[in-house]
Amino acid sequence: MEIKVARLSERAIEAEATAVLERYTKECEPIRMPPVPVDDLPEMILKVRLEFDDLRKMLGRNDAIGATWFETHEIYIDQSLDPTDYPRKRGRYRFTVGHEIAHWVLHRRYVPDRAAQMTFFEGRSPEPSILCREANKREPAEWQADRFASYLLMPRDLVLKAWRELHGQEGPWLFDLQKYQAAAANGFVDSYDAVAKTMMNHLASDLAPQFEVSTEAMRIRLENLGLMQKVQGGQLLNLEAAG
Amino acid sequence: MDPKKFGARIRALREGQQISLRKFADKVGISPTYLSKIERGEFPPPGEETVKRFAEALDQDPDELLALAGKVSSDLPVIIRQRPRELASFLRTASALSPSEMAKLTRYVEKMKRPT
Repeated sequence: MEIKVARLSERAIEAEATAVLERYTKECEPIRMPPVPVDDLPEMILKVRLEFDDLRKMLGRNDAIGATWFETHEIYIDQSLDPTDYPRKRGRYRFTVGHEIAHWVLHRRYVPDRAAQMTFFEGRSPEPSILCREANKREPAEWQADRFASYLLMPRDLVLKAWRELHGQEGPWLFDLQKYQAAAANGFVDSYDAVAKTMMNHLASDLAPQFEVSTEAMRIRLENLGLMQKVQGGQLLNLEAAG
Repeated sequence: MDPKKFGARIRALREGQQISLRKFADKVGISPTYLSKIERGEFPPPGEETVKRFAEALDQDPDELLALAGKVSSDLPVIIRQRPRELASFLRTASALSPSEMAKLTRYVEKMKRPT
């Protein structure tokens, strides 16, 4: 289901994610090193339960990976992402938890409170307030939740610190697309943009394990922080990233 | 034995001690999916060894949690089989006692056990 949400800037989303981490620092313990304890956040500071179940069966949709019930304070993660049963899904799992936390923090206010209508029921409504599928990333609420998860799992300070430890004080790594044009022209690769992406993924894969995120998620965050930038003959391509 | 009762008790204890689902699952060596389902009564209580690890992690009496899980500790049948007549008769007689009488008797037996 699509919910209508107000537009939020990247900066505003980052501030919301940072606020959650600050609450954790205040109420539980400081987060000095990655990984961010993302699956402690719902229960420890948001008063939301984190549950695992066969969401695909529960909701009758075979692309369901996460669902949130606002009125009963519950986040459900599909059991196919269980980090103990499927360690290789850990990055996906953690991102999905961060994503569902985002719906709780950012979007609860946009969904009508069903609790009033629930007095006749024992338990919760069969339909979640928000259902997250693998394919509905284009909706604004889903996009915002993804951005929030990125900020939550890869906080600016921790990423910059880890980057410095790995690369010293070096400025951003520039990936000149022109260099890759030859390879693309030879037909070895789909596009030089794809080559740049692969190169960036190599760099991101150094940092992804300590943050327990996917290489892809780390690459996007590093680009977003301006630590890796695409250039074309010395010309910056993603100008909005730096900042 | 009601699986919901066991699960709800574990959840109440865990949440009371501010331990997250994931941390607790890691601590007792099961997956969070399994724990989530046990706590919600979707699954029956786990095996004896796991229940004992629950008890240890939550600082609870293992025999009490085992009873709530509809089990008795596996050492008890062994003990009874070693002296079947005496122990069966002892248990049948003692089971009629009130909790305070039982506590008194236990203290008495412990004193007898101790070398003087």
